[in-house]
Amino acid sequence: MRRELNRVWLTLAMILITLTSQAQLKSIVFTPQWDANAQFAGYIAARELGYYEEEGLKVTIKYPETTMSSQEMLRDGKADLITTALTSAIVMKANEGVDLVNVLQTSQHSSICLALKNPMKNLRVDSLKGMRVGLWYNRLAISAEALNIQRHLNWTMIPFRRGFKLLDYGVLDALTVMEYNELLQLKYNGHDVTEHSVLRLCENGYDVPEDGIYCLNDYYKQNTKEVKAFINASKKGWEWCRKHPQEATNYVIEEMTKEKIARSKVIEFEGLKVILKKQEATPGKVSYQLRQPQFDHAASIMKAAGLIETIPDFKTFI
Amino acid sequence: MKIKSLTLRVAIVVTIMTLFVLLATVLTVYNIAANNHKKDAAEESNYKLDLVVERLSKVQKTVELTARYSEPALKASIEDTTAVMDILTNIVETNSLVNCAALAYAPDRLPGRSYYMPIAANYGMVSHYFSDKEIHGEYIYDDWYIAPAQKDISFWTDPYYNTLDVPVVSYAIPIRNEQHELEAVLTLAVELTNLHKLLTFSNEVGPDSTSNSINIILDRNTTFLTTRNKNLIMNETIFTLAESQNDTIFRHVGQEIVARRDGETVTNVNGEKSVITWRVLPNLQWTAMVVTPYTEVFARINSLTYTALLVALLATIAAIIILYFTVRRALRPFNRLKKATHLLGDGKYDTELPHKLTSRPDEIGDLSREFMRMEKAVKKNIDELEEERLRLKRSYEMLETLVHNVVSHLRLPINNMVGFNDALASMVTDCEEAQEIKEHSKEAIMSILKHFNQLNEMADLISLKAYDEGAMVDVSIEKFVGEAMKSAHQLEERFFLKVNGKYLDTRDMTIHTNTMVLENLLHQLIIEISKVSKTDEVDLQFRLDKDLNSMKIMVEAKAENPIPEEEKRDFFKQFANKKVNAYVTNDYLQLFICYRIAKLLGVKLYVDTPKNKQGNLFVIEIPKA
Repeated sequence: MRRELNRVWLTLAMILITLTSQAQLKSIVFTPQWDANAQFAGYIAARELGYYEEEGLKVTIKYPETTMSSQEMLRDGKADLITTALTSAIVMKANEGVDLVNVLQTSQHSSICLALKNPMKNLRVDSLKGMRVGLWYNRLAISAEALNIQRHLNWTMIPFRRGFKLLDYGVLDALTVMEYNELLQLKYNGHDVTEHSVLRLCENGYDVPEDGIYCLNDYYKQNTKEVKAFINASKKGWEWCRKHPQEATNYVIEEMTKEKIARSKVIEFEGLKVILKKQEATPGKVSYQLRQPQFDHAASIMKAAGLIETIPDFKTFI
Repeated sequence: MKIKSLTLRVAIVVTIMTLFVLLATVLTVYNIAANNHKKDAAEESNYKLDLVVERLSKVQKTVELTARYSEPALKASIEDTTAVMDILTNIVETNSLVNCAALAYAPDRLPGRSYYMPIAANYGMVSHYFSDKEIHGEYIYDDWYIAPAQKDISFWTDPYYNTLDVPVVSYAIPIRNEQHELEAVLTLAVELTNLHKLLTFSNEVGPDSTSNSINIILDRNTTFLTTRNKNLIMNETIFTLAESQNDTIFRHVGQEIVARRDGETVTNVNGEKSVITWRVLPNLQWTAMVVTPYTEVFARINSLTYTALLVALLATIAAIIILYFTVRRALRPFNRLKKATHLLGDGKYDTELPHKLTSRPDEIGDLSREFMRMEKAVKKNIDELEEERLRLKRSYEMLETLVHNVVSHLRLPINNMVGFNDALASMVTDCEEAQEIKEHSKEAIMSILKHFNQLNEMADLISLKAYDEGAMVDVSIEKFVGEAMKSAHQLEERFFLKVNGKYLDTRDMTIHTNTMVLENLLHQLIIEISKVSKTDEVDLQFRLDKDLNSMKIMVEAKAENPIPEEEKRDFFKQFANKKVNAYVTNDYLQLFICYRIAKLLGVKLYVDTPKNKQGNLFVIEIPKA
């Protein structure tokens, strides 16, 4: 009898300790700039593997809504940390005056491509002149806008939400796609994705870093420890993905299923490999840092295209 | 292994031929059946595809007509959102296919409302509400809005997830004012589950429908829209499947579909070999596909094949048995003929073949009749020969009797002559006279002996003649000669064998001969002996030993290894008549031996009594070759 009572007490103590520790975890709302996909495999893996909890964080990954982008969510305080493209962050800071800081730079190279409806021999930038080009409505491909302006391509730009169907519907001549996402969707939907149909910005002078984690400067100052903990856990998540791409893809697929998003393991696995490659500053080396030359390159392109008036101070950006 | 039985051989040959015929028949039946079933399967697939096309076309037309008929009313009531909502509600109420009807106003079309979209939905029950940017976001960035707005055409979207995360397809038409400005986009959404229900018709195809076939609809990019595996719907394409399964055929199918080409192929689907038939649907540019497991397509063919094979096997076994007994029955007359021939060979000339055999009208009947005819002929010839033999036998018996009589009649005078001669010699004192008498007597005896010899020859000839002619008369010459010699007691007991002037045996016999015949005979004898002797030194002795009342002919080879006794005996088989010793008496041994040698050599034998010499000289006269 006594032994059983001891067991009951022990169980209750364990529950209490767990609840206490849960209560002590710092909550963070993290919003990626797009729906769940391999692009965010590192964060999904870190959450699933308990890396955030190990850092004392309770991270909620809240994907952007139809009505609100990640930038808007950050600006409106609906998200503590977001991911967005460097160019979008520069625009926010330079044009909208949002005081945000880059706390982690995952992508080191551009993944943006322009996919054409009809393949062309000797496809070059100038080949795109006068085309009806689809660009994401939330301006995640600002470098493509810069290309249009700087190279005087005179596109009829048609903003769209997602996917690639507008190419099939005959509405567009070309549209922006990510190398790790829509380009693979095109590939596995029977489109030609050779050099005759795909123009990669990174190969045409627009190789600017993309995804990074941002938060408002104030938030960072007030929660520096938590942000750093989040960064550490996120890095661990990405490193795990690098070592276990298949398992990471499985986590991504589970997440996409939960979010009711169209999913294919083939595409996500291949996409993850592209993403991991884009994270390497030099072959085989991952730094997770935004370097000033890259920042300056991106900002100067945007300034030259007239997309920003002034280049934000790099020191205030990181 | 050589098969001796003609029955078995014929049965095997006929069985093999039967098997060939059966195999050819089965293959032909299989091919015909396979082609028919393939056609059936293809027709069934095509029938299903026709159904898909028909039903989707019906859905398409219904939705399009609904939109077209609603367009004027909406255009007229565009300012009145309540009226618009009524029209939309009416659409979903009257058309069960349409789950959702919405009118997306162009931005700022309505005063104070940048985005505005009345929606009527029917998810079991009809509801209607208004949506704006806060609820629906900036719908102008959605494909279903952009496409008709940009292209100014009515338009079917590929399936997409709506704001309720429900996969739908939409038909959207732009509504423009008289200035051709875009006022709104009407969109009528149909849930994929509705389509799925419409296309689940495998049980409707008929009782022969292949139950395990999969009916699939793919969008223009080969994304699965309806199929049995829910995980594929809206997620996977033919290309991702091809990639995950590393299936080049699948990839090719995807390319064909994207190129809007109909087709048919065979590949593995879920590890099962299947026939895939697809057809690109007009207008929607979707693709209807029917996947039928190969085993199912060919289930009936295989069943038919197994039945055919079983029947063929049973027929073959039956054919073998029937053929075996038929052939055996057919060959039974031959066995009877064989037995009859065997009996005929054994001298049973009265063997009869059954009447049913000889009365047959076929070749066997001919053979049987010929056999009977041959048997009769042989019997007739044999009978004639027997008669002739008996006749000869009687003739020779008469001759034998005659000779016997002659000998008997001569014996007494000879004895008398001898006795008389002896008496006369004893009475004569004068030696010369006595000697002369004696010589005359001997001459007389010699003369008689000559006659004896002639008789002997005659008897011998009779015997040989009788033997040659099959009379089997046993004329024993020694009997006559022996009888004759009993009276000639002066016969010399010593004689010599002399060959080519050499005395082979100096003690017993002298045979005057210089002929090649005896030389050859002895030469052959020596050669035969030499075959077993390692040297050429062979002693050949003809020894006639009257004391032992037997004849011995001995050969001694001076070889390192002595000739086995059995082989020695074999050498003289042609010389020694084993019966000799049993019949030869002491007194007339030499004469008999000479006679035998002469007989063997085929020469004449006579006895000579030289003048002024004691004893008799047995002369073997061998004519020169």
